[in-house]
Amino acid sequence: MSVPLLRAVFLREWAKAARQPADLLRHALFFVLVSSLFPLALKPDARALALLAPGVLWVGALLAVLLASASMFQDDLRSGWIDQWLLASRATGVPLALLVAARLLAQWLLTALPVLLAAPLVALQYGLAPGALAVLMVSLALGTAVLVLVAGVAAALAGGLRQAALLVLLIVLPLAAPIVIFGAQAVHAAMRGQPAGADLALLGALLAVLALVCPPLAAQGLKAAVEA
Amino acid sequence: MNAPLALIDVRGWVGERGGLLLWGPLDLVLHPAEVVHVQGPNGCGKTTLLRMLAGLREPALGGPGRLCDDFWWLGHAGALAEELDALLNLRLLLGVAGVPGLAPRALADCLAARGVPPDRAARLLSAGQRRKLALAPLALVPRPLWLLDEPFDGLDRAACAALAALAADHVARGGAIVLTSHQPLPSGFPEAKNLLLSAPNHPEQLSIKEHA
Repeated sequence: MSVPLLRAVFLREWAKAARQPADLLRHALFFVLVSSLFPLALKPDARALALLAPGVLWVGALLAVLLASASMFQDDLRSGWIDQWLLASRATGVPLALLVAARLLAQWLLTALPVLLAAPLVALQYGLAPGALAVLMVSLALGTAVLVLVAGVAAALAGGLRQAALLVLLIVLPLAAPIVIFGAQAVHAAMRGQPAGADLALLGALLAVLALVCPPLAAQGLKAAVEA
Repeated sequence: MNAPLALIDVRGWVGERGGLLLWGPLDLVLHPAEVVHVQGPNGCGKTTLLRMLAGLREPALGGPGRLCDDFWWLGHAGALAEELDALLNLRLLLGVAGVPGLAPRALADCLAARGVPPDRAARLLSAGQRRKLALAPLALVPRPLWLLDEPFDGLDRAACAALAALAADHVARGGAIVLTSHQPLPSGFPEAKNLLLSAPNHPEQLSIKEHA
C-alpha cells in the first residue's frame, strides 16, 4: 500500500526535474561561480588558496543547497499536493514522516548531487590533492544531507508564510555552523595528511540522528501549515 | 436505529478561520446515497467545513465525531504540478491516493475522452480542463464518499452534465456526496439536501455546548 504512495511523492519531484534539467544545473553553476570568484579576488598565491579552499568550497556548497531547498514545500502547499499527502497518510496508515522522508531524499538527490558532481571541478582551481578531494566529497555528501534535513523542517515550519525562503535561510544558517566546522575541519586535516575520520564520523552521527528526528518534525510543521 | 451506518456523523461542530467564528454549532449526519449541497455567501466557511470533513482541519469546537476515511477530495487547486503533462499528473494523483497502477493507456484514453489532451503540460490547460483532470479519479476508482469544493467551476455545459450523470450513477450505487457550489446544481444531478451555513447568533451558547 505504501509503495505507490512513496513512489508518487518521489516520482513527482523526479519528473519535474527531468522536465526542467536547467533547474538542477543552476544550483551547481551557482556553486561553481561563487567558489570561483575567491581565487580571482585573492592574490594568486597557492598557499593562501590552500588555506581558504575547505572553507570556501563548503560555504559555496552550503549556500547552493540551501537556496535550492528554502522554499521546497511552498508550491506544493499552495497547489494542495501536501493536502493529498495528509489524506493519503490518514487513509493508508503510512506515516506522514515517511512521505516527508521520501521528498527530502528526492531533494537531496536533485539539488545536492549536482553540486557534489561539480565539486571536483572547483577543487581543481584550489589545487586540492586527490586525498583531500575524496575527503571533501565524503564530507559534502554527509553535510548536504544534514542540511537538506534541517532545511526541510524550517521550510515546513515557514510553509504557510509569505517570503518564506529568506526566513528559512535565517533559521538554517546558524544551525549549519557545526556542519561547516566539522566538514571544513575534515578537509583541512586531509590536506595536512592527517586522518579525517573523526570529523567525518561526527558528520555521519549528526546525519543518523537528524534523519530520524527531522522528518517527523517537518511532518508536524506541514500539518500546521495545512491547517492554517 | 435500523438506518444504514452513517458515513459522516458529527455533532456540535463550530467553524473558525484565522480567529473568526464562521458558523456553528452544526450537526451533520450523512448516510450512503445522500447528497448535501453546502451553501452560503463568500467567506461563510464552506471550504472550511469541507476541509474539516476531509480531516484536514480540526473543528474549533465539537468532538471528532465519525468521519469516512475512504473518499475523493477535490480542493480549489487540484494538486497539479504545472510543468508535468496531464497524464502524469493523473497518475500521480492516483498514486498518492494509494490506487495501484492503472494502465497509462487507459488513463490517457479517459483524459482524451473528456477533452483533456494527455500530453499537454498542466500550466497550458484551461481552467475547465484542469478541473476535468482533477475530477478524473472520481470516474476511474469508485469510493463511497466524494467531497467536492466548487466542482462546476470552469466546466462547460457538457462537462457539467457529464459530472451530474456521474454523480447520479455514484449515488444510485449508494455513494454519498458533500459539495459546495455557487451555481444551482445542473439538471440530472441527484437530489441534494441544502445546508445553509450561518454565523452563530448567540456566541454564549457555544460555551454551553462545549461543556455538554
